[in-house]
Amino acid sequence: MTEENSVIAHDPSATLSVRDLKVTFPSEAGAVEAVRGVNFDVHPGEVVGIVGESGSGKSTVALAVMGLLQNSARVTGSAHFKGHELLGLDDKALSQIRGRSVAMVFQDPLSAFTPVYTIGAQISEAIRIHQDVTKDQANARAIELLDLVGIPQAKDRIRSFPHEFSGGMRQRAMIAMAIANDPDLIIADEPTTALDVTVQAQILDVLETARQATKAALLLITHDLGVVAGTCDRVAVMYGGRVVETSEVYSVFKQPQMPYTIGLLGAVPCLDAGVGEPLIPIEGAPPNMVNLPDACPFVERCPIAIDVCREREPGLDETLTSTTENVHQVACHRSNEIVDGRIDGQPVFALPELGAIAHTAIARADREVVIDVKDLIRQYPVRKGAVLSRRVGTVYAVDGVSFDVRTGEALALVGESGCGKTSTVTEILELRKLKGGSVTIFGKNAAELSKDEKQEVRRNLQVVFQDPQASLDPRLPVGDILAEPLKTHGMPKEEQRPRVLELLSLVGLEATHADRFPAEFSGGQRQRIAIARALALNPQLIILDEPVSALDVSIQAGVLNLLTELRARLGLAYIFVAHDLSVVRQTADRVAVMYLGRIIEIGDTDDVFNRPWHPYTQALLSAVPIPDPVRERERHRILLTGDQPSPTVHYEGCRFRSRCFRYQALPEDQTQDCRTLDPSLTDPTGHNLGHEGTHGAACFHIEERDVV
Amino acid sequence: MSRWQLVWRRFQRNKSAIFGLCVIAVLFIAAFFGQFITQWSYDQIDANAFLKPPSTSHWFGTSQIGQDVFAQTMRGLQKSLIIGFLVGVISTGLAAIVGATAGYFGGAIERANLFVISLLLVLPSFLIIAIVSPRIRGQSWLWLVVLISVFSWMLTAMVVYNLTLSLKQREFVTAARFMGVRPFTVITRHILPNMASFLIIDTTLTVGGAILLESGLSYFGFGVQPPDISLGTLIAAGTGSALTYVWLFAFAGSILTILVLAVSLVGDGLRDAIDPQSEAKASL
Repeated sequence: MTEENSVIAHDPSATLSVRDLKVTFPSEAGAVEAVRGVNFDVHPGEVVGIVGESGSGKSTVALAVMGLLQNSARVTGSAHFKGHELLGLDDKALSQIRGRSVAMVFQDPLSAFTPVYTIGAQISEAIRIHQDVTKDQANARAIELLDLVGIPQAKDRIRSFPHEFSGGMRQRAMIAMAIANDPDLIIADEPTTALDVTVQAQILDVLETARQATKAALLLITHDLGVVAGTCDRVAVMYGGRVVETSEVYSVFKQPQMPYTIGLLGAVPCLDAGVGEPLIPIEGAPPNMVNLPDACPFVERCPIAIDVCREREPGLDETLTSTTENVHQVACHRSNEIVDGRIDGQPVFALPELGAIAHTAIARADREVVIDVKDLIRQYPVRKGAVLSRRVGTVYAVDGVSFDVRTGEALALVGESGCGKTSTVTEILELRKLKGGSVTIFGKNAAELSKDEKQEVRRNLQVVFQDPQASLDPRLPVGDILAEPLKTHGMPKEEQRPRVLELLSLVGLEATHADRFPAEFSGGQRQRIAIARALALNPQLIILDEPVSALDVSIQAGVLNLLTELRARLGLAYIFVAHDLSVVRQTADRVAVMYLGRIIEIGDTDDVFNRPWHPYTQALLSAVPIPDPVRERERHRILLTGDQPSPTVHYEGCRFRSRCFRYQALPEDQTQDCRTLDPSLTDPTGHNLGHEGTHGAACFHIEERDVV
Repeated sequence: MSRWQLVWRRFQRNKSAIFGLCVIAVLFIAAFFGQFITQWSYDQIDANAFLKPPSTSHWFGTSQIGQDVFAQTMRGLQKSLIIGFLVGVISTGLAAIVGATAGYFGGAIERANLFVISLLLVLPSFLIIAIVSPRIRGQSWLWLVVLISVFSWMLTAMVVYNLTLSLKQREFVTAARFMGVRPFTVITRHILPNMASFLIIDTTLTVGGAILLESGLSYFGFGVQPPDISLGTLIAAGTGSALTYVWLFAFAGSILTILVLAVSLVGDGLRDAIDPQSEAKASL
């Protein structure tokens, strides 16, 4: 198949034309074939998305084209930029092109700037390297660029150092630097992955402005199908180091013909689904890129694999629906049998069955309260000086949070980074004396527990952390990891092993896995192990701290389904912390949205998602991209101005006021309350929200709005 | 492939480290079995050979009173090796306990442990050992091991302390804590095993330092006391005639140099093989 690929000539009209690109890295286990023959074109003014999960080789493609890979990587093939070969150029020749005709925007804008120079100096340096202008002219241009990307008071901010900018502002400055020399092509490698969702919306907006200002083509590399749906003209889906499906964006989303694409689209949690609805996971893990056999790389995970899939790797061929204007290529032996995500009338990926959640039969008010948190406060001192440190301020991380969770219920705490959601749950888990407020857990006050009572509470309260790589001790075999809680809480030795095996099967792993080490498992399997450990003692409440945010979409779906299923089977209660709203849509019964250390809206999931009251919730929901290009492009996005303000200051009045679009739109005489009073959770009539579990928002001007 | 297999493979690629390992193995075998391949024992006196240069019957020559230098050197090497490895194990163990408890518990324990560490760091160890050693004269040489250990663990403890501080933040430690696991179990089960690589490297490097320190002390008469022999006492006895009767001094001196060099080579090799920082270098 590679022979066919190599004969395809470069497209002379394309800005960037990549042919048969292959990248190999040496490793202890053998050569890692990270990229195995990739072809694509980026035409002038076009936005091309390369989408894939971690390890698919998408970033390597970009780095290889720019000549930024480590020296040990072996790169073959050809990449023409406006007719000139890029691969094999020496660093000096490439520097002439990099930054001038081709600009890059990286994922982490902090490491892309030198910390010791001001932002302005770095942007004008970029200008002066490639253009013959004076220092003042370059400076003036830098201000102009910062202004274009939406940095307020660009004239003053130009003298700021990178650390004085927030993540979102740094990424704006990065984009300003990228377009400084009017490039023909911008390569953006996961430009919004490290950012919060409301900031992501701003940055995508800025990227679009920048593109229009320069008329450059954009190569967008991302794992987020929602971002692709909203921005790209054409998409290439990568899997196992190859492009497995490519076409114009609408046809990929509407008529995907590669099972992997179909699975990926089904696995994305969606804002408009219902509570308890299952996601469609893709079983298994991506292939190991060493010594790949001549077979379809997706064959192990593909539900419709046939013999030929194991014998020969399919080439990237045009499908029946492909036309000359809209070329649709798919690397699948059975692609022509697939129509509308179905094969022989059956969906390629069957919807899994999940058990019904038992407690729904009993009214919420009649169920037992598992945990009751009232006015919880958590503050961190800000210290200065290394030897004689003194307190110079306070971070009000959690500033009066109240909620309760009842038997069998899943409450989601959502919010952007720095909103205090993780501080809230760690404060609960510490079971110590509080700075303010109270935590009543299983009917007992957490601050006044005796040593034995504490151990009893710990038995019933378990936690699953974000990163399964970090939360499992790498030196212990899985069996020992799972036995640890059993041993700690005094289970006789001979009963431990059977329980460990039972737990493994409960989370869908095999008994033989008990003797392996965490490093031998994929991310999804590791998270299953962490969940099994949390279940070991039959707890009543599990705190899930971002349990899927470190996982790829296809794996994430399986873990979310498992969580839903376990809750139904074992009657567990969850506190589910997440920054991604779509993740909790199908998993949680109730949602609490946090902003600056406070819950600003709480209610049943359907209410909060379908009828959000608080302006922040509305902005947050509208910023989450939906993986459907038609709907995504029709949505009206509420763009918040600025970043989340500093949590070291106590605000008078409503804490969201500084970014609130409703406040800005109100006439002066109606904003009195917003400026002077701290809103509590109420319904639209102003009734204070009790604990009866209804919907409430901390806003004086509640107004319903459909944003999904 | 397991982690240690990987480490071993990388270690094997390092030729000088393998060389060092072979040298140590040879010296070990010689030190403990050397006495069986020569007819002479270290405390035996050959009345027919005083100050004889190396020959077929006395491979390293003989001393002023007719002792076989080969047998003596092997005996001394044996002592030096034992002292070196004991000090390596004891001081690293001590460092692990003090550093890890300081880092894990914090508060008063942290301050107390750090105070002891800083105090011992500023004391001139060589002088103190020199002053204390006359008091232990005539007692077991194990006291010397204790003394050297007491003064060689502090820097390691500081590193262990800092590693503990960062491991304490890791989620598997937090997870164990929230599970209700007892603090000492957390340290021995989760914290120390995760710095095993550092501890192993450190033990190796301490061995070299301890052998040198012991030799230095013995040279000045503070270390191993007669009738025990170490490489240091041999060198001390031989220095007077270093230029006239070279064999009295040269063999003990060069074996000491070779031993310490070999230990350092192995230590460096281990560090390169275990430390992920050197991974990129190894793959080129």
